[in-house]
Amino acid sequence: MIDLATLLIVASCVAVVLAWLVPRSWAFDIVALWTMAILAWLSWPTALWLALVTLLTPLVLQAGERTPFRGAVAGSWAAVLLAGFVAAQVMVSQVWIGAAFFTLRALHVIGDWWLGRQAAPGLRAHWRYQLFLPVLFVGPIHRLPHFVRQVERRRWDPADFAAGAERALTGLFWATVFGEYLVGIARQQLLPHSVGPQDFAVDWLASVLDWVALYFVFAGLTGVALGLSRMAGLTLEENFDHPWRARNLIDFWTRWHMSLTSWCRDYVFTPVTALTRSPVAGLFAAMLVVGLWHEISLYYVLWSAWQAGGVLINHMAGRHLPLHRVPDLARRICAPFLILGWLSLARPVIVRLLEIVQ
Amino acid sequence: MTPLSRLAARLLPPALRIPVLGLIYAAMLGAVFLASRAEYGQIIYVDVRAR
Repeated sequence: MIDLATLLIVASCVAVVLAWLVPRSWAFDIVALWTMAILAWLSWPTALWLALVTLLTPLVLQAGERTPFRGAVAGSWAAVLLAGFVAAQVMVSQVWIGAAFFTLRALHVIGDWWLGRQAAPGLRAHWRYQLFLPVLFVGPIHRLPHFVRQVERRRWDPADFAAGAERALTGLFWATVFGEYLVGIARQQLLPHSVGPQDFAVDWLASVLDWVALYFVFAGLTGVALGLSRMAGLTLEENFDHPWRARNLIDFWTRWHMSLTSWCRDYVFTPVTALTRSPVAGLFAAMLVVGLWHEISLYYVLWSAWQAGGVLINHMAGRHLPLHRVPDLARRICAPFLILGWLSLARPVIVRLLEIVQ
Repeated sequence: MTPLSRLAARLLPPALRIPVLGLIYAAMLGAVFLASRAEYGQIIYVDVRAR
């Protein structure tokens, strides 16, 4: 039986074909219709909710432009979208596809409108933006103005098409061969098979392997999404910038899932820092959004605090420890291991903490 | 030019470039097919939520 991820990738390939077969002025409207048809087939709640979000967001913002209460309009509509996102997380009896990604895209549109960075989007531009299947279920969280520019400038280029196809194939190779198969073998060889309470070191090692698998699968699938987008003529925002080259934890978070971290920087960290005059409050708020975006649970609240604490320790160590005396080569070699060690240590520590509390 | 074809252009004589690239792509596709049939797990980072 074909799994859902494979079906979505195949349907995204069909979207690429449609983008070139249909006359240019209609191409992305037809792709949007195709996206709706696929969603309606695989998950009617997603199709219904996304259709409402896609159609109502421009109408609400256009109506908001005629009132003096822009803040109230933006806040109320953002609250409705967040309620939908929470419902998608809670109603696990239904299949939800891409809710985490399209909610943040819609909040970006509302946020930029409220801040006066862009006018209320047209219905058609927003429809094309939200309903672009290749990036719907795996990101990146691309931005509306960039997407509109890309659609306008799009032209057929065989070299671009080939580069996109190669990127998509390479991404699929990373996700399945490295992320699933090889890490799967490593898991089988390195971790004990017995079920039951395991020691801390085993849990930590399992967490390390999960982070490695996550990198290959997530970066690989993002590569598939960006490759297919490029085949359709659109160069969208990157999501990873060689995170293993990060020099420290702060640098890591500017290289990992960049479209999410830049979203949190623009719509959480900067406003919270400006309001509270405290970058630490901004950091904890931004990390909390990153955590709850993955899952609304106490585990992810603690996970957010752990990761924000890591960034804070990193910042203080940079200021107070004589790290500049450590040779550059040694820092470059040690940094990825220290970063991976900190990221993966979160799970065994938090799980044990929750066991004690509960 | 794609990244792999740039690499092929740098390392291989012209007559070998297309066959070698074809072999690499075929090998990648084959590896994806074989790896996805193994029972090591499923793609975990697609944003699909359901029980």
